[in-house]
Amino acid sequence: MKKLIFVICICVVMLSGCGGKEIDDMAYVVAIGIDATEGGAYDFTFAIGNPNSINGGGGEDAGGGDSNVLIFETETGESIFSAGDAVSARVGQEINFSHAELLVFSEEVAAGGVDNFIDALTRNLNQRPKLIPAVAVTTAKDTLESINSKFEGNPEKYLKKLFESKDALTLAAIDSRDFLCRTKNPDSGLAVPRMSVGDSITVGAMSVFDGDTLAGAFDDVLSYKLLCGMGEDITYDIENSGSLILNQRVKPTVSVSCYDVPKISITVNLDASVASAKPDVAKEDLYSAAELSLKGRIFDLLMFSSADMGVDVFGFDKYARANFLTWGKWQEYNWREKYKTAQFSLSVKIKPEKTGLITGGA
Amino acid sequence: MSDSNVRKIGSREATWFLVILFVSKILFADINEYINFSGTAAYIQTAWCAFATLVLFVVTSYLSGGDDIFSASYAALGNVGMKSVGILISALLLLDAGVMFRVYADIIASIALPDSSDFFIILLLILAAGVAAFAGVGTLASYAYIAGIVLVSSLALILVLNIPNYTLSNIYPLLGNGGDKILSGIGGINVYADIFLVFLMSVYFKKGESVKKSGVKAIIISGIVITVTTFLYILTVPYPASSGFALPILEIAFDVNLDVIFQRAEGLFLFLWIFSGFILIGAYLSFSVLSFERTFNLSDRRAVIGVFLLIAVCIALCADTSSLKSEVYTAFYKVFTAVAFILPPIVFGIKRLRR
Repeated sequence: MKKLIFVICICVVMLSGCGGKEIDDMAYVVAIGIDATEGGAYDFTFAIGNPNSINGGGGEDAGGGDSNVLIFETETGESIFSAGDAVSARVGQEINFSHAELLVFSEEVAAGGVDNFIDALTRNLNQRPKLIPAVAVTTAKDTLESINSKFEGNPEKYLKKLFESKDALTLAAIDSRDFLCRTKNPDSGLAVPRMSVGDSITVGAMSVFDGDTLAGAFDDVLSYKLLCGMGEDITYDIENSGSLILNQRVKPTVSVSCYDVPKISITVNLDASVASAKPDVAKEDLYSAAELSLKGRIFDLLMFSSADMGVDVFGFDKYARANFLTWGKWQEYNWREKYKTAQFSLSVKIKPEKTGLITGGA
Repeated sequence: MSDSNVRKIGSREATWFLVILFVSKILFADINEYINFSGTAAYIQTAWCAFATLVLFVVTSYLSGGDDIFSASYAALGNVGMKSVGILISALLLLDAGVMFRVYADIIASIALPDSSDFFIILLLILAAGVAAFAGVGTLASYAYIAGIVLVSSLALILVLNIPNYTLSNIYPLLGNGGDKILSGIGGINVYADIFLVFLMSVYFKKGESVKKSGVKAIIISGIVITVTTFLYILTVPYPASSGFALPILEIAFDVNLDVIFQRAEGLFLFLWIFSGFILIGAYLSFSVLSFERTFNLSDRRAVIGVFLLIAVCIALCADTSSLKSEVYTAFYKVFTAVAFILPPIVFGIKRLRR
């Protein structure tokens, strides 16, 4: 009997519900934009899922699911949550961040440091740590308002596809929790998608952060993908020769030797199949040309990160730390400064994806 | 009714009872304390602390000769000495129960029941702790055998689900803040401070040798669980960011995302939290009552349960503001650890010398 009462006490807490909140009473934010204002506060734009339009909505008068899938609300404030409260009061629905997928900073905000936003959001228990941070070339508000999911009725799903599918033009390798962890590490930088506005949003570049502050940008997303080990089904054209489909089955092997000048050896292994080739080009030549071309591109990006920006975007510090037994010794080495003079030894190896292909023929 | 006449327990039940008390500590910020001290080598410090606890326990249990702390303190220090030891232990455990009421209620309120009042949650905890105190240490320990396995399995499930997020390079530099820091991090044995409860439970054991056996087994099992959990947390969250999260296991649970298969594991953490909370608070209250009963040789321990509960709740309500709560908790925990590891060997040692 006593055991039974004890178990019942546990169940009373375990079987708690949602605190009387209905889904209809919530406004689910799928993306957040942050712009600076002249007064020093921030303009927070919330892209909220429109329940009447998402996937055709649930009502009889609902549209076809292809228009107004998002409602935009902007509020000036000091923090995301105070702005969210103001919007809640205005629209009569409680703002909920649990389905937020994207966090966009304007360049001005990013240049001033974003740690306070990332920290608050990551620690908020109502927010998943898997938010994708990004930087807007124009304003964050304009960028969010350009989200136009023509073929996808669910805006959250659309954003996932835009950033995380294998066909994405950019690479969201860093989520908000990773971002927070990297900004707490003084030796490491990071790159997040850089969004520009056209007919729709375009995300074909990356912005670089040094700590929590915007430090620069680069366009070569393909090289970044390969260095992150996330190259999948990439169609790669080789000038006047043909094109290959590249797949990266394994992460690049990286080793770092910490001498006065750090030496970083990287091997990128790729599997390739021939998508098209000119009649007079042998497959082996196609692979060699691709290796040479990719090696040049990746090397340029590596040199850009070290010599030009001096920011370890790729997190080579975690490999370098293996050379040291204690944090004291590691900090004495001063990776942040040493990385600026790093020497890279890069190897790109492409091998045929399938063996036994018939060559030549009638 | 004397609790010692109600139910005897075996080595297995006692082992898992102690495992619950030890492992529950890592649901708090204790992993963070290890990481703050030893950096990326926190898992080595946890293993070192488990080993040190094991040595201390073996020495203490050798000195005890199978006696419980009350009879030993009576033999060593006389009636006044025994009463002083009993009151000290009873008061510390009661304080611990009060502090735990507050800590558990706050976390449950912020994670699972944000719209509920603290009073409502504390009321539920009081109910559970009261039932546990009435049931007695023997019943609670018997229940703990299943509960301990459920607790460790749930923790293991969170860690297994998080496999895709482990990054091996997070363990470098291998010695973290240095070998000297690891060795001087012996203060981390506070996680095992509850081991002294085994010297209060001696009368509950079916066999005298179970005291030592269950203590050794519990320290080894908990040492492995705590070391592995700390290691996997380090693999999940890179240092130095790993030292900044208040509830490390919750962070691991947050990170679990197996795409369409399994996306959220916070519920598992909450399960662990509530589960361990009821047992931990119930155990502290039960042992506090038991100490009082043994100290004053009460014929019916149930008479004091209500008063003890009331005092524990008052302590919980006093530790209301977060800064005070944090200070109270830290200071109290240090005193509790010192008493837990120093008092038993002193009492048993004096008794042996006087024999």
